[in-house]
Amino acid sequence: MEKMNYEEALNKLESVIEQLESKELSLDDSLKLFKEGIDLYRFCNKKLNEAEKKVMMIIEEDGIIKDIPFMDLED
Amino acid sequence: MKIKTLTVSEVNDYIKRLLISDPILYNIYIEGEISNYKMHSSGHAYFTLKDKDAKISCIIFKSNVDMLKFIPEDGMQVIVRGYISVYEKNGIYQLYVDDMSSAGMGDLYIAFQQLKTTLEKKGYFDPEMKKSIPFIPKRVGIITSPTGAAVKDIISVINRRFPGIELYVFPVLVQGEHAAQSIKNAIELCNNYEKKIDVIILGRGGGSIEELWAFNELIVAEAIFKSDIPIISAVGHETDYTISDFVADVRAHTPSSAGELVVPKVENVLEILNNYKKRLAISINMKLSYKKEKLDSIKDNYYFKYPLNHIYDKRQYLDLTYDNLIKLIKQILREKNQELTNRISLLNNLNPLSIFSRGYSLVMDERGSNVKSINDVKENDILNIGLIDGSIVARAIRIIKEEKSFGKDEL
Repeated sequence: MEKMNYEEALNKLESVIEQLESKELSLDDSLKLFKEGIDLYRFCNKKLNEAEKKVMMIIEEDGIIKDIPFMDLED
Repeated sequence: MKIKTLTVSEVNDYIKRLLISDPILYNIYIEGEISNYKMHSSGHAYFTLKDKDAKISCIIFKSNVDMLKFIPEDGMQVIVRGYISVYEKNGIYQLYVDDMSSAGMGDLYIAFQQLKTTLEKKGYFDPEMKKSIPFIPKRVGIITSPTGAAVKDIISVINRRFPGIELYVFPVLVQGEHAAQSIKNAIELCNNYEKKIDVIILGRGGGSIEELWAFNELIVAEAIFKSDIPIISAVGHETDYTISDFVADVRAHTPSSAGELVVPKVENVLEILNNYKKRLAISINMKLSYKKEKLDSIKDNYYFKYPLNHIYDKRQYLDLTYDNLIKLIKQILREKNQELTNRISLLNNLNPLSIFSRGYSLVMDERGSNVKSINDVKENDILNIGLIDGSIVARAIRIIKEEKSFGKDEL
């Protein structure tokens, strides 16, 4: 799972939900799927948290985009 | 008296002596038109001088040809000075020309036109041969008479317009026999001067065509043409044209105007520079503000303005998905639980103990087999009756058969 990107993980999570919705599953299988779904959710959540932190860091690093001062070539 | 017989030579010799001793023919001026002018390889020139009705053969010896101010051409109306003598070998008389001058236009004018034509053909006046004058020269060479008004004019004009230009005066003779050579030498000296001269002003004040003549001479023209340094020619007044003016890179009407041509006014230069500076500032500022606007518009872009919204959108979707997942598993668990509950109640219904609890009993024989029918029992048999809380050992006292079997269908 660690190698997946966010979209892949999310797709997988959606397919887990579809399986849980549609199929007659044993309890064990349901739980196994549920566990997988939760893991995928956590993974996605972690990815989003990381992305958010990264964005915040970039914004802070750059600060407010500063006004470029004009060169004063006049006397 | 017997007349002595003479030889041909004696006759020709006698005639020659008569002619050259004649006070008129010995030094004579004759006007006529030149025809059949021929330069011989020896350097002597031969031609015929004619008028409407007559001709006379003429010869100019090399030494005199070289002294002529112009090159004689057929059709020219000239006045020649010389003497009449006999060429004894052929027995013809001819005019021995010492000097020649133009009868129509001035000699110098003719010479001027001739040199002008020659040099023009050689390409001395071609515009593409002209060197450009530097905008602001560092050093100006002034070739002129050190004592004339011209040099003072030139210096004062330059100093007034652009103080600080280095001026080098190369004194020359500007008229007379040695003027041309002196000017030629000065031009060459300028070109080889220890300090690099950027531009030369060659000139003198006004004067007659004779006084300006040095500037019409071939050696001066050649020196100007060969000069690596651009030359401004400023000879005489506005109406005076010299060969120098044509060969030089620029012609100034007067020495003063040469001073104006050679340097710009310092105020004008400063003004131009200021204009450039302003334009530079305006254009760079315009460029910068354009770039800044562009950058601002990027900065205002949704993703830059709300950089986290993109992530928030994703998170919202993930949250919904998560809720869905939880809802589903709960539902599945609920369903499984329901299934289990259903099974339990079914099981409950089948539990015999629950029948006891409703007041039913189980009758068994002594061997523990279920007694399902009266046929299984005889009178006085020992029966075990199981109840919910224990059992009774009983004896079958009487067996009563009934027509209708009890509850059989329901079980």
